[in-house]
Amino acid sequence: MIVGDKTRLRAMERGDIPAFLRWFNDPDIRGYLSMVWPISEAQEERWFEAHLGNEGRRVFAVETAEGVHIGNIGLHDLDWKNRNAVAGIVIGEKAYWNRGYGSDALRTLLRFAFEELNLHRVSLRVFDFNERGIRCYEKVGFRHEARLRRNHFTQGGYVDELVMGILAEEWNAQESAA
Amino acid sequence: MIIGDKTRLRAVERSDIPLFVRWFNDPEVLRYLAMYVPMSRAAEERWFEAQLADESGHVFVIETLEDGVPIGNLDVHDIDGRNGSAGCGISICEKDYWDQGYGSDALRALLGFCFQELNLQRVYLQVFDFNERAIHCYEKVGFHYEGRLREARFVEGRYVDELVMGYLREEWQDDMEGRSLGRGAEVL
Repeated sequence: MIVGDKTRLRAMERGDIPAFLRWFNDPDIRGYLSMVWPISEAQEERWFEAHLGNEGRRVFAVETAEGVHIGNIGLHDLDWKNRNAVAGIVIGEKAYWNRGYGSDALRTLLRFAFEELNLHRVSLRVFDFNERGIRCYEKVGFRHEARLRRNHFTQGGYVDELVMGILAEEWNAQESAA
Repeated sequence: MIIGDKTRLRAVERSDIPLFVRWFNDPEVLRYLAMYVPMSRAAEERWFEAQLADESGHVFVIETLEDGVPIGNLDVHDIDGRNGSAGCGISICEKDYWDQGYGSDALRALLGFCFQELNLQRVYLQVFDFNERAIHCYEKVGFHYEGRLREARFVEGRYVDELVMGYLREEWQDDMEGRSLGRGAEVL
């Protein structure tokens, strides 16, 4: 368990699969992710089993301090030579949007990434129309690094994808200033 | 075979493996690539078999058009059909052929193939920020700077930035119309 101020990150369990199915079939949520196809329980079970054996990826369940499972957060493409990883987050329970749970979970993940995993850099990607996501990432300390033009097709058109990143030294500086 | 103005792109053969082992153990070549572990012939053979089965990309050998000398390779990878995008990479491994326009020509031929045959709408690449020769080449070919991934790679004892560059089909079409050559790659 990795504990933040208003969230905690725990390992995923098989029992979480029904929640994933509900979230990842919800159009309001899928629109912000690169998931395209409707997803079945069987596919989600297979994904879960594959995740157990994947050393390059760690996904955690995000819980409120009261233990409500509200979303997922993870580090992907863990690269030890370059001390690099890519973060991803989804708050699947919409009642918890815009209340700082995502920011807190991300800060908690970054603390783990820099202070325990010894990473040098964490980056993420976000569609340019996801203003709520971008604002959250900026608030947490991610800087704008790149705009991948027309990188994703959705709702009948191409959209840009932004790359944002934060370095260990930037994390340390903002932690010691806090 | 994909034919450019001074290069042609052909499929990789098993008989190219010894050449690849020589190329990809040359520190002057490797310094610009994401590869960093000395490469065995066995590893290269395994890579060859894997790329045969890999539907998400294509690797080609670059030959001079004039006399068929293999001088390097290039690839299109992570082909994403739904989004119409792919990454590309190139390495001119015979150093005698550096700085003579072979890489630019091969890339132009590959882009013609990507936009006119694979029906892609975006091709991108990543390059270390110290690789000025390559960046100059990519700009000349028509790639646009899209961003800088700060300290994304650890090489030669320090973290370096990686640049992302991209080229869209409509930009390529505009560039082709403006270019006196008037054509991209001719695919035979």
